[in-house]
Amino acid sequence: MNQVSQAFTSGRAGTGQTNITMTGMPAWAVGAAMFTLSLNPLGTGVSTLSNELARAQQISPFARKDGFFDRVADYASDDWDGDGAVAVSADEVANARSLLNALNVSNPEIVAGSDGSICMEWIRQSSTGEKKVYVDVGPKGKVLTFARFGQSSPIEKHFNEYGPDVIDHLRVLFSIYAA
Amino acid sequence: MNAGDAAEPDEVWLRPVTNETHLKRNTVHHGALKKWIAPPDDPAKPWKLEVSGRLRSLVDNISADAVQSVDAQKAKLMASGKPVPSVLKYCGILYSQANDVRAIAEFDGDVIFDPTEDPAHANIVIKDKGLDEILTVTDTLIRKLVFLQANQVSQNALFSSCA
Repeated sequence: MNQVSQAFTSGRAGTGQTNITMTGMPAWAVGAAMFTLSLNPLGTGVSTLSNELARAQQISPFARKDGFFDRVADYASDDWDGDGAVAVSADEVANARSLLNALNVSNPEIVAGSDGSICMEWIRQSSTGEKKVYVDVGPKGKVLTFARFGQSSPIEKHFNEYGPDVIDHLRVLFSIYAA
Repeated sequence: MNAGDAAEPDEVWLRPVTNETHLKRNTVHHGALKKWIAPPDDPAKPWKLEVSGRLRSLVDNISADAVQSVDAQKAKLMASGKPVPSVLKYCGILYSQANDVRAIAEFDGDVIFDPTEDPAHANIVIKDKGLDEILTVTDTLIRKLVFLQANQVSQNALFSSCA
């Protein structure tokens, strides 16, 4: 099994499982992931944020497309769609898994972008309207984030590389998402 | 109509959806639009982003064209010895009338005829938002474009003559 295949098949982000992909993971992310593992699993009634996100997932059965990381080898070579799509790299897969583990949020809906990105979205209805968060990991190490909460102005922020500032920013967004 | 002309107000811009994993209840995942939104090839164009699609009045058969396009994608994959994902199929269309695009408050948009190898090709163009706001544009489009499942296209009055 080559490095790409290993990254694609080891671990499964966002499920509360404890296996972490180490490929390309920076030390800080390992620390963040270990911290995450010390938290209670989703839906246990201990963490408000976790429970809210778990509940949002239950409300939206379409949010359960959690098999992306099982299928991601399908996107590992260029032109995977027969229409010029760029391959999703092992580094982007590792970053996406690291990000999901660090955030400890419910499974997003994930699709591969034709530009080689991993496109994740969380959407839920709330008393203040629809809340959504988009996170695109890659290509070329970039991370694009977007959030819109009810009628508020959208918040879009791009990062040139995956790092602690991405997680910090997303934690703020998800605290609003869950509120 | 000439290349570069704005579409008539009642003209319809449409785009087939050809990947089943991109489908949601009555719309698509934002990742589906990655394929379609980009800055114009010509930087001199007076817009920052364009969304590739087609004009209804210039399409003879939306479904047949979409199926043919998917078949071509599959054939290309098979010819190169790659697996053919079962999710590649004609799932439906996203559409909007040109007037409705111009009425979108979140950005300054229009529909511009831009024939390529596809003589019906047209772009939704966004004049005031660029790549730094691409997800904002994407989200707006997802909320404003209407999705029709493949089996509903021919039943819709807008498309009954060209479904």
